[in-house]
Formats: sequence, C-alpha cells, structure tokens
Amino acid sequence: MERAWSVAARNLRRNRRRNLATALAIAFGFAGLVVIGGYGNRVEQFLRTNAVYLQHSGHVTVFLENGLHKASAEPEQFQLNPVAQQKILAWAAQDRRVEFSARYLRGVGLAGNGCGTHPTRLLGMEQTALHRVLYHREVAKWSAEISRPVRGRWMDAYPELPQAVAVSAGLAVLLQKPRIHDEAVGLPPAPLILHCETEQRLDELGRDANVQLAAITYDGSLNAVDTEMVATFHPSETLGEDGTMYTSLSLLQTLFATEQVTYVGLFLHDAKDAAAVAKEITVALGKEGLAIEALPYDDERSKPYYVGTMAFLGAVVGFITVLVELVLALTVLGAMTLTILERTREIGTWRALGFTRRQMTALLVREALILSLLGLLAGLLLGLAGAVAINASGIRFAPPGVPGTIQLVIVPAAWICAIQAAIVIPGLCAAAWLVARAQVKRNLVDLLTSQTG
Amino acid sequence: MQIPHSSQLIVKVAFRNVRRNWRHSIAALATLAVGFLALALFQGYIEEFLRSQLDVIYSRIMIGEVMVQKKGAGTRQARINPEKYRIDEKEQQFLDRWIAANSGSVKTNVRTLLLVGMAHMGGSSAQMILWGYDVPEGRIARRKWSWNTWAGHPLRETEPSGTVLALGLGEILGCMATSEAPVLDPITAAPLPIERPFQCKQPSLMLTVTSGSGRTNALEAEIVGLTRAGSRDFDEHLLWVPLRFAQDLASTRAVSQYMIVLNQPKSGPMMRAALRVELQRAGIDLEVVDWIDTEGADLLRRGIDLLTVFRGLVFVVILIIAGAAVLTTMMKTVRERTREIGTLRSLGYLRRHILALFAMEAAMLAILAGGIGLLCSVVCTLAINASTITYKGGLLADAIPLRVGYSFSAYAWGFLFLSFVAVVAALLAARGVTRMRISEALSDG
Repeated sequence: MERAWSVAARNLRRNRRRNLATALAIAFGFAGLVVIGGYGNRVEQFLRTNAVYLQHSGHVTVFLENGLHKASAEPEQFQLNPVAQQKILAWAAQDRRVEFSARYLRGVGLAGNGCGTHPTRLLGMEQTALHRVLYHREVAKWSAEISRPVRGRWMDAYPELPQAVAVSAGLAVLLQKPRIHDEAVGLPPAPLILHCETEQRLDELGRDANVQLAAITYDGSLNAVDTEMVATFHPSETLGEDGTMYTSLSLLQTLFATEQVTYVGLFLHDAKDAAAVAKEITVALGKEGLAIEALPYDDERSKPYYVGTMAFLGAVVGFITVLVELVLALTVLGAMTLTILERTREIGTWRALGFTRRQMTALLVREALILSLLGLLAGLLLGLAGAVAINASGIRFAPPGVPGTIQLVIVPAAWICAIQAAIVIPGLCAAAWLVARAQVKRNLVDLLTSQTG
Repeated sequence: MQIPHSSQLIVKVAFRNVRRNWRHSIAALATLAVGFLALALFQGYIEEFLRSQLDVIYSRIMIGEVMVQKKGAGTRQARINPEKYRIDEKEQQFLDRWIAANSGSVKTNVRTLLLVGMAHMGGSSAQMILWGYDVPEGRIARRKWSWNTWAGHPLRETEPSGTVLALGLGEILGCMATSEAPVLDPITAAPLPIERPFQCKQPSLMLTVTSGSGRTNALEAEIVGLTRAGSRDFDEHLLWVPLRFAQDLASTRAVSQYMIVLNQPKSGPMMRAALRVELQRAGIDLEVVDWIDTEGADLLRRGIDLLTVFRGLVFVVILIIAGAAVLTTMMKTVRERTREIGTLRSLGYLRRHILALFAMEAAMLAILAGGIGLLCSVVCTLAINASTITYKGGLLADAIPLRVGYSFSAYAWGFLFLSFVAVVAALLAARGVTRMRISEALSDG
C-alpha cells in the first residue's frame, strides 16, 4: 500500500457531504475543548498570580516550624527572628532558582479617622519587594487589572514618606476618607478637634489622607502610629475589601514593637520548582539547626482557595473533555459504520485483488485519522477565533472569591490543546478500527455479494 | 389525493424503518443516549449541589424563609452609622405582634445582631464578625444542625456570656479541637451531638466593638465551643454569642435582622408579600426579603452562575455533535431510500408526508435514545451517590460529597431537547430528496 494515504484521502472526497458533517462535529467539539481549556488555563494563571504575587506569599512561603497555624496566636514564639530571617535569605540568595525573596509581617489592628475605628488586617512588606511584585511580568500578564491601585500610587513611589500605606477601597469608604495623599496636598488642614457628631465631619475628614493605626504589641501594650494613605486598592480576597492595609515592614514592626517577621516569601523563576525548593530549604536549614515550615503555593494548607478551585475546575473540565471525547468517538463510529457498509463490495474487491485484512483496516483507519486531523485543525482555528471574539467582546463576570468583576479572557495554551488532541485522536481512530475490523473479517464471497454498497 | 389514516401509516412505516436500519441507527442512538446522559448528570449535579448547599446554609446560619431588615443594612453606610440601619424596639414590637398573629404558620423566629470588631486573647488579636442570636430559637432554626459544634457544645441559655468560635478564628487566637474522632454524621452530614474536647491558651477572650456613638466597648466571653463557618474566609472571622450579650457589647437594644422560619417553606413568597403589605399599612420602613437575594448569598450565587456557564457550554457541544450525528445517519438513510421516496410520492404522499416520515423516525430514535440515556442516568446516579466521593470546592471550608440528584425536569428537557435536535437534523437531511421530481427519484441508483 504505497499510496495508502492518497487512496484514503480520495475515499474521503467521494463522500464529501457526510464527511463534512462528521468533520464539522469533530471541529465544533474540539473548538469547545479549546475554549474551555483556554478558560481553565486563564483561571489557573490568574489564581496562581494572585496567590503568589498579589497575596505576597511567593511560590514558597517559609514560616518557622508550626508558624503557619500558630504565628498569629503566639507571635513571639512562632515568628522568624532576625537570625532565622538572615539564614533563609542567605539560602535563597545562593539558589539560582530563586528570583528574589522578601520578608513579611502580618497582624491586625484598628484603623481610625479620629471619629471612629475599624478592624483591619495588616501586611508589612519591604518596598523593594513590593515594587518587584507589582511590576513583575507575570502580574502584568495575568492580573494587571487587580494589581493596579484603584486610586493613587503604591507606597514604593513615595520613598520620602515612610508612613505611606495603601488602604483597601472598602476600608477607605468606611473611614470616610475620599482623598488619597496626592489629592489632599494643598487643602486647608482639618481642625484639631473634629466635629464627629455633625455632617461637618465629612468635609473635615476629607481634607487629609491621614489614617491612625492602633494595635496591641506582642507584650500586651497598646501602640499607635500615624499613617498617610497614598493608594486605595482591591485586595484579591472578597472579605479583605472592608479591612486590609499594606504598610512598610519597618512601620508595622514599629507598631508591634518587634524585629520579627511572620514569613519569608521566595519568588522563583519557574513555578514548577516550588515543591523542590520547599523541600531542599527545609532540609538545608534543618541541618543548620533551624526548623522551618516551607510551603509551596500549591499546598492546600498554604493556599486552600487556589488548590480547591483548581481541583474543582479540573474535575469540571475533565468531565466535559470525557463527554466530548465520548460523543465524538460515537459520531466517528457512526460515520465509519455507514462508510464501510456503503463500501462492502468495494472492500470485497480490494480483498479479491490481494489486499490483506490488515491493509484494509489500516486504510479505513487512515481515512478516520485524516478526517479527525482535518476536524481538529478546523476546530483549533474555530476555537482560537472564538477565544479572540470572546476576549474582544469585553464580557465581565463575577467569579467566587474575587471582589467585583473581572473580564472574561480565554487564553488557549499550546500544551493544553496538544493534550486534548492527544486524547481525542486515539479515541477516534479506535472507533474507526473497531468498525473496520468487524467488517473486513467477513468472508470474501459475502463481501462481494453484499446487498449494501 | 388524500391518504387515508396517513399519520398512522407514517408512524408504522417510520417504526419499521428504524427497526430495519438498526445498524445505521445504532451510532446515532448511542450519541443521543450519551448526550442525554451528560445533560441529565450535569443538571442533576447542579440541582443537588444547590439543594444540599442551601439546606446546609439555611440550617447552619439559621436562615428563615422570611428575612426582615432595614433597607441598606448590608451596605458600608450601615457600618458607618450602624444604629440607623438596625430594627429598633418599636419596629420589633410590631414584628412580634405580626408573628404572634401568624403563629400557625411560623415555626420560630430568630433575632440576630451582627457586629464587626476585634477579638483578643493573651497577646493575639483577630478581626471578628460577631453574630448574636436568640439561643433557644436558633436551636430550632438550625433544624438537623441543632448541635453545631466540632468541639465543645453549642450555646446554651444558661451561659449568657458563652461564645462559639469558628475553627479558623480559634486557630488564630490559640484554640483548637483536640479530638481526631469523626465529626459529621455520614447520613445527615451534620455534626454528631458529642461534646469533643478542645484546648485554648485561655478559657475566655476579650471582644471589642465600636458602638454607634463611636465609643469602643469591650466584654469578656467564655469559649464554650468550636465550629466551622462553611466558607474559608468566614471561618477566620465568625463567632457566635447570645443576642443579649451582643446587645450589651454594642450598647443597643436594636437587632440587625428577624429570621422567620415557616412551617411550610413553600409559603415563603406569600408570607413575605403579606408582611410587606402590613408594614406598608403601618408606615414602617423595613425590607422583607428572601435570603438568596441578599448580599450574604453572593458567594453561592457566583458559584451557581459559574456552573450555569459550564452547563451552557455542555448544552452547546451536545447540540452540535448530536445534531451532526443524526444528520449523518439521516443523510445516508435518505440517500439509500430515494427510490422508496419516489414510490411513496407516486402513491400520492405529499412532500410534507415524506418529511413527517423522516421526522418521525428521528423522533423515535431520540425517544429510544432518551429511554436508554434515562436508564444509564439512573444507574450512574446510583453508583455516584453510593461511591461517597468528596471534593474541595474553592472557598468552601468543608469537603463536598459528590452527589447527583434525580432531576425530573432535566429528564423531560433532555427528551424534548434531543427530539428537537434529531427532528431538525432529519428534516435538513430529507429536504433535498423530497424536492426531486418523482421520476427522478424512482430512477435513482
């Protein structure tokens, strides 16, 4: 069968209309898979970027042993002291897989405007790390919309203002602070004693971007600092909207009167190295007598939302893929059954001319393969066009766990399309092989005298 | 020429053709059956997910079919001026009278007061959402979740300053359950009423909130139990206290909401409408709503919306592929039977009779496929539900059991949907042949 492929292609052309219908079914099915795979890819990248960069955790989050669960309850005992911090940073600096590392301090406090207070979660970070995180190419690519402040500029733009803070947009509303630092410059100052019980309050609070921050230090005393709101932002968690503040690490350490940090985030060049880096740093520092807990971003204990959502999404996408594969295989099964039944006498003639059963089966499978490849190619183009159309339409949706809405963006990935095609093609060929094998097994005389075809 | 009993004849001929060409039909039949199975399972999953989540949420957080609150109670303005957005004593008296007048329909009524503040315990602090409620009424409203704790015990009337912490909040403050014993009843999926041990670094915690006048109040509460809040975010923030304790903490006698649980949940819309009329008549400006329409149900609504998008995609894919499968089969069938069509036409059958014949064949295929699909759906549903598989669902704190419901509406829609797809595909395939001249059709092949 030297010209087996051209014979198969010619046979396909003979039943153009029916084969077109089958190829279209394959194309639409595969286009559906490309779109849903593109959606899954986009969600994964979006959630990963949020988990790693915008939640300021890094690909690997390094706590003191048991610090993940106990750092809040017993900060003095389960946070990282300066010696531990240096050991972790030194290990990270010599490892080529680590792009950069940064120290973070978590806490809670009360944000006040002089008339009232609201509880808030606090995250203190190094300004250089904040700059690298927010202007990182991954953030720009996948989460640009969420990474931008709602108003103002991030704290790293104000090196001369050590008390600069960013306040979640909802908390700024609760504090009745409509202006950020840049917008309040040059306004007449608010009176020393505010008229909190009257409507005058709104005007007075709006004259500056000053927010007081109070908290209980680790030794139990009450401490407070004055801060300047330079930006408002949407945190990447829904419940954070009404109570989250980002400050510099030094400001938060002053507030809690500590030199400790809650964790060190390791940001890697390649996310795939996270598990290995987490394992190796734990072993290496353990040998130096420092017991740590290093959690990769895909560890459920560290990022339950990311892991839970991806597991759920994976199950749904997997279900749809299996379903489409099954229906497509049945469609090809049906089409090939009809093709073979129609050509029973033709098959008999080929056999009479000396072609073996194996060669006949191979010819028919080749036809199915060409049909599938054409269908997949058309499906890929259709899926890509669909993705472009969806992206251009600017549809916005509200996924669970994200404040407000985000744009629906479909980003098909070559590797996902390849995997989907690799799952679909054998299924379709197997369907054709099953039908062909059953037919060519028939007796030569039966084939030649068949009423069908 | 009028064909006598043509419709009966068409049905007979169609049935005969389906039987005679079973080999041609089997692939289309299988495609349609798988399509039906997929639709039924996906819809059954979504319906069961919604039903079970609503059941758990309504029980867990004591939601009534009639929810009464001030307009704008869920907004940030209500956080700034809380007292203005609470139900005052006069309004409570009106609601209590209305409930007493409708006591035959009302199972119980739970008043709640929601506060935001800080919880402190020996050097650790956390943001908290404090949920004050009527303890005995809350027990009734929780239905099969009347025992709602993972460790310790639920709130009791005899413990006026008792508090139950969500496990995540407890962890932040230094409390954790110390028992590894299973908590949830495998049949009801609610906690078993067993008092399990827990440890806290201190037996009590200090709660602070800002009152309506801007003053900060503080009260000490004794930790009596730990529970799960359902969603991961809330699990790090929620704690429950008796209503009077919450009112003392906020220096108020007002409440945030009335949750009226009805004996007949289906009468919710009617009772809500009746209460709205009464409130309007009395000139009281309160909002009567269904919880599912409120801000609190946002997370659930978003999850359901996402699943609905996926379901839409599955529908479209099945529509196209099943349609193409039937089209392929019908094209072959129609082409093979061109002479038969010519004969029928020469006997006086009109074009519409021929089209009806093929439409009938396709509908029979769809109904047969639906029957097979229905049988497979029931078997798969039984198997999935018996498998006790669980999965994690994003923001939800607990693993969700994978269950599929028996969705009769999905079965009915599945039959209709696939019949429609099959009939349209058959008509498309047959359209060309019926337009041929009779002589041309008779001399085909």
